[in-house]
Order: sequence, then structure tokens, then C-alpha cells
Amino acid sequence: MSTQVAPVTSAGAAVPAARLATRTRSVPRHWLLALPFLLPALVFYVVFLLVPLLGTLALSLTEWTGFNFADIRFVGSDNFRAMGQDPVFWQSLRHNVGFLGGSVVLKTVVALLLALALDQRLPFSNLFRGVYLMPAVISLVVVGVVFTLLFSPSLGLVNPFLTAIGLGRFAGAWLGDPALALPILIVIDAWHGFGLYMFLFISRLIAIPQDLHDAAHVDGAGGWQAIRDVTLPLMKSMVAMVVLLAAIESLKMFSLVYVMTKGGPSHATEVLSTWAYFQAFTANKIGYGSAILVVLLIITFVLAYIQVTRFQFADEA
Amino acid sequence: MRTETRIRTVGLVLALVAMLAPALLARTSEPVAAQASGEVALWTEFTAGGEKTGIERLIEDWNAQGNGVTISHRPIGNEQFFTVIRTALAGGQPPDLLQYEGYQQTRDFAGAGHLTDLTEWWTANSENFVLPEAGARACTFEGKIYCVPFTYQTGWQIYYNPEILEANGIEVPQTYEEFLAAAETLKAAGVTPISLGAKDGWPSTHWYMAFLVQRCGVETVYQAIERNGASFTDECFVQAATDLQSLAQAGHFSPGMVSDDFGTAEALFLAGRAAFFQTGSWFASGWEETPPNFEVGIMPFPRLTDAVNTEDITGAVTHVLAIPAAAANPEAAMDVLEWMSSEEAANTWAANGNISMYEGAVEASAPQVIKDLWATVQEAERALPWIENELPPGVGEDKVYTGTVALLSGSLTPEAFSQAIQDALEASAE
Repeated sequence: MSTQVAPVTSAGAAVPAARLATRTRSVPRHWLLALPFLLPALVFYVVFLLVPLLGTLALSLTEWTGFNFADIRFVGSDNFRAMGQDPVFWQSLRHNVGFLGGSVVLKTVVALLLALALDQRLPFSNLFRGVYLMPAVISLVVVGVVFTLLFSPSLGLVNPFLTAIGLGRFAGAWLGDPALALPILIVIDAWHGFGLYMFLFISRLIAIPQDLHDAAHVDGAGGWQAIRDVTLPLMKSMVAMVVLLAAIESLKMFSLVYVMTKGGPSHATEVLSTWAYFQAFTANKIGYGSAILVVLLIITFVLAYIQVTRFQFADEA
Repeated sequence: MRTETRIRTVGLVLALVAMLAPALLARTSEPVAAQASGEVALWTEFTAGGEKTGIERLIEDWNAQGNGVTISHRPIGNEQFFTVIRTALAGGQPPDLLQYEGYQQTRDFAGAGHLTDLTEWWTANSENFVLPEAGARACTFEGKIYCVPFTYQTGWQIYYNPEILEANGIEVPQTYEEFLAAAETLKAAGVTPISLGAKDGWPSTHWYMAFLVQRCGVETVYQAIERNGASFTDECFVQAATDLQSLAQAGHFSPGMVSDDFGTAEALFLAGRAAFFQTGSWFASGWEETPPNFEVGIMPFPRLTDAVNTEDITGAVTHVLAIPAAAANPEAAMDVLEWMSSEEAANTWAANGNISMYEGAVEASAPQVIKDLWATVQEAERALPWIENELPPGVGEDKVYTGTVALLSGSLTPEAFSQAIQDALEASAE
């Protein structure tokens, strides 16, 4: 003899068996309804992301000049072993780490500070929101071209400006100086990206109930104390998301480096994506270039996994 | 329920249309247009100066003939050119007629079976060309000819601003020592002596080559490239690298030499803000769009008085034409190729400021400045082709390009530079 038990929802209320049956039957119908709308995006996702991704993974295990498909040769892990002997690969990896640290910290800190400042209902807040967002809507290629010209020691404006204000001793080769080129790129990347993250922070700040601020004020908390003890704890998940997005953006860095320095001078600004591009499309080593990209992909995945699992729903904790 | 069905149907139709539209459009446009009109797709890197005006004029002339075959031209910037054509060749979607830069590219493309064998045509027509051996060298793979020489370019000249020289009491230098003295005088007067934008590597490589050909000579350089009798670590190679680095360390190049690109260096010179500018013969027909307010002077690259070689120069057959093996319209492409290699087309090409490879075209039709450059080439014993075109790309475009920039910035010694080239060359041969 069996006992029939009514299913229980998360809230603890019993769901009638008839309703549950209807719901389970209706799932495939909803799927069918959604499928035509999802299909175009799915096709694009598979064709333009999944297939190239799998192709890159496969090519990373081969040796191929890129001239003839018949010449593709399986070499196993040879390309990955070759990275160990490639000093430019390690140099590029270090530069990626530099980008990751420098650019992510700059973007996050500047965006958060400005978001907090603009949340104080200061005069012209809306104007400044627009102004700070502007760089983010300009193509990174255009940004690269403009800054390259500005920093040009021959025809640029930076050196003449420094000279004009009596700081001529600081005029330099800028992007031509191996020690300065990478920091300059990091700062430009941060300048380009912080506006968007500032908006994300502002959207989270707006969502914080005013009651909490009022309560903190009644309890005697000053401005800074309220930010530290009320606002910032509630911003954790957004900060985590911004750090994750900025980190992925930094790891993918290509266009700014390619346009401004092409990885030079002497590989001083080379990053994994530009080195992979050079290997694949200039040195005719498609397999090795793909292997470098696979390493970049793995690093990105690991980083994303750590961020997502560690910081998800941190506000509510 | 009815609404749901309707939404589902509309969604399904939209999805199918979105997916099939590109395929349907492609089916109805490409092949029909290409075959019905007898169109020949021509891809070149002729995007500026005399090359741009020359190819536009040639296409205009051909299409005006109304012979049933029309040329459609796709100009592609030099920086992207190689990647685009390699992808097109590998993907089986090449143009009908292709311009590229010969040498290593011929070996790569022909070696992969992407080019049509033109040996028979070349054998029957090679006598129409000047420097046929040089042309054949640029187009040969395993004893067969896969392309036809179209343009020669020389790097053996320095463009100068006569007004700056005159204002500083400087005569046009005849030797390298005089050139250095002139640069010193200009620097002392607060004038940038030489405009250089080496960001992309090749402009500094051309300077290195100008020293290399004098220190080692063409034969020795080829021995090193072929790893047969010489090495890039030999003394003359190191000396050439030292010459380049010394010039940079003396402060004779423009301050943006490492980070500026070629366009910036060109603009600096044409704006009258630098006295000298070394680059290829293409520049001689390249400033019509932004004419300078001075008469540009041209002098041969000044010879080092202590150099081993005093006869060789730098320059090469730089543009060649070929028919891809997978060309959609090979017969029409052959017609166009034959016409492009004719006296009529050669004269048009030369008249627009290009050194045509057709016998007598430069003498008959080119502007005087091109004639003068060509005369210098013909007086030379031998010419060293662009070295990156003779080396595997991982060597030429990394160790040489990046290395010469590193020499300028002082982050590499001449010895380390030379050793890096030799190591990479040996590694590429394994």
C-alpha cells in the first residue's frame, strides 16, 4: 500500500497534483513558443562563437601555415610546450597581468569614487555623468589613433604643452620609451572604460533604499560612515561584477595595443592577443597562435569562475 | 491558444528568413554577376600616390575598350594586404588577378598550390622586360614561374629639403661622412636632421639595409640568408647594425623615431620640419595629394668611404602579378594580365610615376624624377631586395623589424640583434 504525498513548494505550501501536472505538461509548449525567438541568436552564437572556439582549440594542436587546409598536421601538445621556450610569450603574459592589475584597479576605483560623488546630488551631476561616459562610447581604435598622435614626440601636442607650461624637462619619447609605453596604454584603457562602470555603480546606488540612509543618519552616522557601513557593503556584488568585466576586458586587450604600438617597441607592450595575431597571421604559425589564444581563454575562464563563485550574491550575505 | 500559434508561426518565419537571407542573397548575386559580365576581380595594395592613380587609369583604359571583360579593383592597405590575400587563397575565394610582393610570398603561395603556372608565358615574353633575371627570381618556385614582374622600387635615395640645407649653409652631401656632418650642423641649429617613423619596423629595416649592402654586399647577404658561406653574426652584419644604432644615438633621427609610423614621418618631412627623409621610390610620386611648399630634392644614399662594397644598392622587383589557381575567371584574367604587361599599359603605369618593368617604358613615359632614380638603379652592380621578403616572415618581420626598432631605442646591442636573426633563421630551417 502506497501513501500519496502532495509536493511541497519552497514556501512550504502544498501544490495540488492537478496543477503540477498542468505545469509539467505546459513546459514543452513554452519551449516551443520560445524556440523560434531564440533560434536566430542561438545560430549566431553557435556559428560565430562556438564553432570558431572549437576550431581554435583544434588548431592549437596542429601545425599549419594557413595556406592550404591539406597541410594541417596534428602535433599534439607541441605548441604548448613551445611556449615554454618563447620569451615573448612570457613577456606578453606579464604585460597581460600588468593590464589586469593596473587597468582593473584604475577603472574600478575611479568609477566607484565618481559614482559615489555623483550620487551626492551635486550641481551638474547629470552633465558630468554624460561627460564621463563619453570616452566609453568612442571606438577604442579611434581612441588609439588620437592618443598616438597626441603623444607623438614629433608632431604631437603633449611635449609642446609640457614645454609651454614650463615642464619641458618631462617631455619624452612616451610610446617610444619601453619603460613608459605599457603604463600609458593602461591609463588610456582605464580612461576609456571607467565611464561605463561608473554607470553600473550609479544604477546600484539608486537601488539602495533611502530608508537605510535615513536610518543611518538617525543613528548618528556621518557621511563617510554611512558610505563605509551602509553603501559599500551593499555594493559588493556590483564591485565584483565590475572587476570581473574589467578583468575580462583587459585580458582581451588587442585593438588599443595594436593601433598604438603594435606590441612595440621591442615587445615592450606585447600582450597575448597581439602576439597570437602576429604568430598566426604574420609568421604563418596558425597552430602556435591558436595555442596562445587557448591559454588566454583558460586564464579568462579561471578568473571568471573564481569571481562568480566567490562573489555571487555577496550583498545579501 | 490561437494567439500563441500565430506568434509561434510569425517567430518561426522571421527566424527562417533571418537565417536564409544571406545565403539567398549570395546565391543570387555573386556567381551570376561575375560570369555574366566577364568580370575580373583584381586585388592590389595600390592605395596611394602614383600607384593609386596609375592603377585607376589602367582600369579606366581597359574598361573603356568595351571588350566584354571588365576589371573590378579592390585596393587593400599594405598592412592588411598579406593577411587578406592569404585568407582568400586558403579559403578558395581568391580574386582572378592578384598583385603581391614576390619572393617569399611566391614560395608560400605557389608551394601551397595557389598560383597558376606562368612559365610558358614568361619564356615567350621575358625579353620584353628589363632585369628579367630579377623578375624571374621574384616569381620562381621550384624552377617554375608563377608571376609577372610589374614594378621595380628602389630604396637607394634620400629625399631632402633644399631650403633647410641652404638656410644652414649645407651642400647636398656626397658621402656618408658629409651626411653625418650635415646632420650634426642641423642638430646644433635646432633642426631635426632626419625624419623617421619606425613603428612598423620596415622603415628602420630600410636604413639597416642601406648599411648592410655597403658593409657586406648583396652576395654575402644572400649567402647568409641561404645559410651558405656567411652568417648574420659575421662582422659586416654587426657593423651595419652598429651604423644604424650610432646614427640613432647621435640624435640625428626625429624624436618620435620609435613610436611614429611612416605617415607621421612623411608628414614631418613634407611639413618642412625635418631636412632628410629616406624611403623608397614610391614616395617620389606620392606627395601630390599634400604637396609641400618646397621643391623636394633627391640624392643617392651617401656612400660610406670605408665600406667594402661601393657598387651595390637596395631595391627590388616589388610588385608582381599572378593568377590564383582557384580564380573564377582565369581566361579573362590572363587577357588582363597580358594587357597589363603590354607596352601600352607599361607606359601608362610609368607616366603615373612608377618604375615599370617593361623594357623602355620608364625612359619613354616616366616623369624625370623617376627616370633619375631608375638611372641610378641601372648604374648599380647589384641590388639587395627588401630583406624581409627574402626571409621567413617570423624572422624578417619579427627579428629584423622589431630588432631594428630595438637598435634605435637602445634596448638591443648590434651583436644581440645579429645573433637573434641568425638563431631565428636556423630555427625556421629545422
